[in-house]
Amino acid sequence: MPRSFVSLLLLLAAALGLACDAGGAGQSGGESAAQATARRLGLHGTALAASLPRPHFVLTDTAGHAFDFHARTQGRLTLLYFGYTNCPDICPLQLSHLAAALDKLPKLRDQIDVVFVGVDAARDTPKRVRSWLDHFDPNFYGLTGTDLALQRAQLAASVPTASVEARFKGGYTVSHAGWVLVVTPDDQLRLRYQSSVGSDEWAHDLPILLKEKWPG
Amino acid sequence: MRSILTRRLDHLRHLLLCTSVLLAASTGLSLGAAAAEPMVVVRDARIPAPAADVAALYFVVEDRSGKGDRLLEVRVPIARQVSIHRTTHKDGMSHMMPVEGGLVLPAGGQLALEPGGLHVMLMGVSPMPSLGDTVPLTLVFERAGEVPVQARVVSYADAAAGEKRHTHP
Repeated sequence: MPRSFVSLLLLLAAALGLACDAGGAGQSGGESAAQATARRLGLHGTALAASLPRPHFVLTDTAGHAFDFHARTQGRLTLLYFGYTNCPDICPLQLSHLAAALDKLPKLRDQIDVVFVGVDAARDTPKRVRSWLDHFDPNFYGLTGTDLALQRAQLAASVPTASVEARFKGGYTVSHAGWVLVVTPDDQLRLRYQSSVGSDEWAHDLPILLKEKWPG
Repeated sequence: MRSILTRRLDHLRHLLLCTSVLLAASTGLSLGAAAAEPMVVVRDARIPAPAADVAALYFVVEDRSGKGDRLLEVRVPIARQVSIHRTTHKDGMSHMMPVEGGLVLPAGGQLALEPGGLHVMLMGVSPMPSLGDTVPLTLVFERAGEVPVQARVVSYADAAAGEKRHTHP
């Protein structure tokens, strides 16, 4: 079967999954147990109607080594974000919020992984991703890969696939998933957070996300 | 031969210019082409300390002429390329698109470039500014003309705090 056809099928499946998810969240009175829990806990993210298993994908870390996301982060609270280093606005804002929140939680810092995936294969070299992340927090993991590997990672994480958006004199922009995904220590992708969530909100939520036992 | 009066006038004009430049520098406000009655006032010009050679520039422009204006161009000497962009969110995706044709400053209103919305994208930034620096730049308006501005280099947290302050005064 041609690869493009397989990609199309995967994309369709992902789109359907997202559509169903959005439908579930939008139903009045159709709140799932997870969504009720998130609301009760006062969390600032949106709980997925149904959680997903911790994603499986392999990319390249900033030292140039293969990074098996599932194996390396298993059993830990993981914040996963897809962006690009030439992004001047949303991506650095998200990462600075996360870095500031972790600064407020020095005792919990070691129990939380932040994983940034640079989806702009042409420009997000491991070296550039490292120096960019070091500006926020040298402990953040930075991953990149080929276009195909990046597509697979985004499909595995059930986020829409990034693409070149607009070309203009001197560069181009990339559209990319706008959320930080939260995978809880029980290895379930449970919530997503918008970029408007600031460091105080994160600092409130992270200790809860570390210890909460979720239903189901 | 120039008369004494003309020279005096020149001197006065020079003094006035120096005063307005000093005033602009000391208050952080930038005065438009007509120094006495600014047509536009620019405040909170800020650049989050960049993590790479790309950076964002945010600011708020207020119309004081009562007639509105249009921001045509932003000139930033430390950037190789400057482009006005808008970030939007749709169906879980963050999009960033260049804005063509300038930005409208409504009559008697304001134009706010804030994190997560409108911003000026600076590319090929060199030398890279650090926290606490000020970056000189020029906003070019259709009516108010060239307006010199000093942007502060701040943390992303401070850049976002500016946004909240203006959204919820």
